[in-house]
Amino acid sequence: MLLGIYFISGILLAGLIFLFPWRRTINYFTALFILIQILFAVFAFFRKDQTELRYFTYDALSLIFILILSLVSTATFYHSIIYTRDSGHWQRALFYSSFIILNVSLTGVYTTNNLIVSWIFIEITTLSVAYLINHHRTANSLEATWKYIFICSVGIALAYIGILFASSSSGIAASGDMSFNGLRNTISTINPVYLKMAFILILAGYSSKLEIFPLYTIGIDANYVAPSPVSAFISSALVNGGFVAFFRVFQIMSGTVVGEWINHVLLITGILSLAVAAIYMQKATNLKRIFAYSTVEHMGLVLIALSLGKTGIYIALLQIMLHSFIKSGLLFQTGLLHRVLKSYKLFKSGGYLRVNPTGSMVLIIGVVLITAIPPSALFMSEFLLFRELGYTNLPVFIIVALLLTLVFYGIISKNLGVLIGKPSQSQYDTPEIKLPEYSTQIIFFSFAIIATFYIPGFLNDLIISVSGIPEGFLFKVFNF
Amino acid sequence: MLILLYVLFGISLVYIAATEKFRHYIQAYTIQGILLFGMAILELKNFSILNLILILAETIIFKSFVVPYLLRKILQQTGIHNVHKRSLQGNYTVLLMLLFLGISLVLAHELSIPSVNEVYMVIAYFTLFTGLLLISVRKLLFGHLVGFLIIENAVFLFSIAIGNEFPLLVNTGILLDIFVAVLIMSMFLTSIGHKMGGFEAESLSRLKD
Repeated sequence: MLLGIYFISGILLAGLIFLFPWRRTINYFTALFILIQILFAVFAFFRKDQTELRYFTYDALSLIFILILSLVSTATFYHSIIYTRDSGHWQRALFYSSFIILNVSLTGVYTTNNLIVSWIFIEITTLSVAYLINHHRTANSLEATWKYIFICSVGIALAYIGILFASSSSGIAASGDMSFNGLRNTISTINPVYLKMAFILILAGYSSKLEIFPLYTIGIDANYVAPSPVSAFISSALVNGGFVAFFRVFQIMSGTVVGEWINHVLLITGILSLAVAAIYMQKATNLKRIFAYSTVEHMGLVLIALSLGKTGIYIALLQIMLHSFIKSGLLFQTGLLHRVLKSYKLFKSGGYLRVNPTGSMVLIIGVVLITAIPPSALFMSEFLLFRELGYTNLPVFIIVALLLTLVFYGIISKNLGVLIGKPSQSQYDTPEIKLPEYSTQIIFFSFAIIATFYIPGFLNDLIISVSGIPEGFLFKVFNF
Repeated sequence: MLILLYVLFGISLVYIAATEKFRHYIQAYTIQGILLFGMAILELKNFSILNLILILAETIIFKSFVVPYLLRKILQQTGIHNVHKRSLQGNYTVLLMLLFLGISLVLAHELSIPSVNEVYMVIAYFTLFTGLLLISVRKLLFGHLVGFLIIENAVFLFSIAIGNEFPLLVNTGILLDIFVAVLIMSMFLTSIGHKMGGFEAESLSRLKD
């Protein structure tokens, strides 16, 4: 019932935006949707583990990501109001309508308990985000949109074949029950070769959404050309959607005879993602692309963590949660930086510290946090990751450490150029940036710092419940 | 009867790979829509009226009428007729297709699923490989588009393989997939050539590090 109301109101509001395409009404409708989204998140917490509309369950994993989605979409909406101020009526209507549909479809991805429904909602995210990427209708945005739709669709089609393969060989399709639980119950009967093939297809297919090797490139291009609030949303909520869709299948398959093999595949894919991010980041000449490669790096770490068992799942969830807040905050700030420096290109940017000291401070904090320097809570998750790797796989420990050093160098050196480098213009026509425009970044960065010392009990319980690690795990590690 | 449909479908795939004229692509794709309908009707044992209507919409209406109509419109508006001169020639593509047919035979045999006809799986794998091959070797975006449509046909074939009932959800998924294809085509029709100054895959190379 609750989810039904949410879905219907989302679709209705997205439609109403087209009927009344004026700035004020669009803002009201979208604000109303955001309110519904937040209320939905609150109510969902009180209905933990309940199933609605047959295909949707508010399990611990979905609750974590619904919470993140509500916060990130609120911040995205706030920044979008300012960003779309000068857009035309229809352009703005299409933007907000797509934004609402994207939120609704992501909620569908997070909450569904069915393999095919998950795939359908992932496909809808591709369609809705396409309009957001193509907001400016330039040659660049059209190229990125074409590539995004085309490669995502091919990737998702491959993932779908993987899902069908697993379903047909397990026999759940014949029974009509294509739920994750159905797959879990019959998975032990599947020939390991089918399982491996299905897993490879699903991983490769969803890599377009997860922004990992091999189909990570479309995410980089999409991040680069999309309006900065959209880039923030893509790098956090949308990537999380890909993660949830993949993670549900992974969790089922990792408990089978091919579990060990799956861990190897994840480790290799994670290292490859980390490597491409580290290498291409050095080459990148655009601030948004650098942050996009940083997403590939973090998702690579998430995959490496997943290959480490239950503790790894805890680390992965912590990493992805913190990354969502820090990265979206950084990309919101990058949008403000663009208003001042008029470019994301490194050779055209410089002297940001002198022109906009407040914005520079926010950027510095964001960069410190994303590179996992204390007090960033990412330090804690990466420390846990290295601790596990140190115990289990020393060569991988060394490779990951070297690649992270490269990433660290790339992010810091390029951002230093923007902050204290030579300005490309002697005088910037500095636009007025109001203090509240920094608020979302400061709030998100605060979350990432506070989490170093304190993770709210309800959230920690959810993460523990998904990962299955014993309670008090962190206390044991850090000797609190 | 079913075997005949499989063989005809396989021949249509080889034809698409071998031909260098885009209108032949469209003709073969139209025939594939009809063949898919025949296969679905003969392969599926239990389906409701709603499922039958959806299958009819996916195969005959969309794959044999709507999509070919849009593809013809694209060819008219863009004025492109043949594959790019630098594309892999038809005879080499056919050789690769033979290789993929061999791989499909091995895969279908080694990974046989008791409830699914082995010949059927050969065609499904072969369709998937053909789609991927077209995307890899064709230089014009139109060739990529046809490659994507062929992969969609592979998805349809795998979907029939999953069971006798072809669940409603799977049907919905496939319809959505077709909708994406139509969206891609309308984007292609209206914007890309106009803004990029060409239909070559290489023209989409502005976004680089």
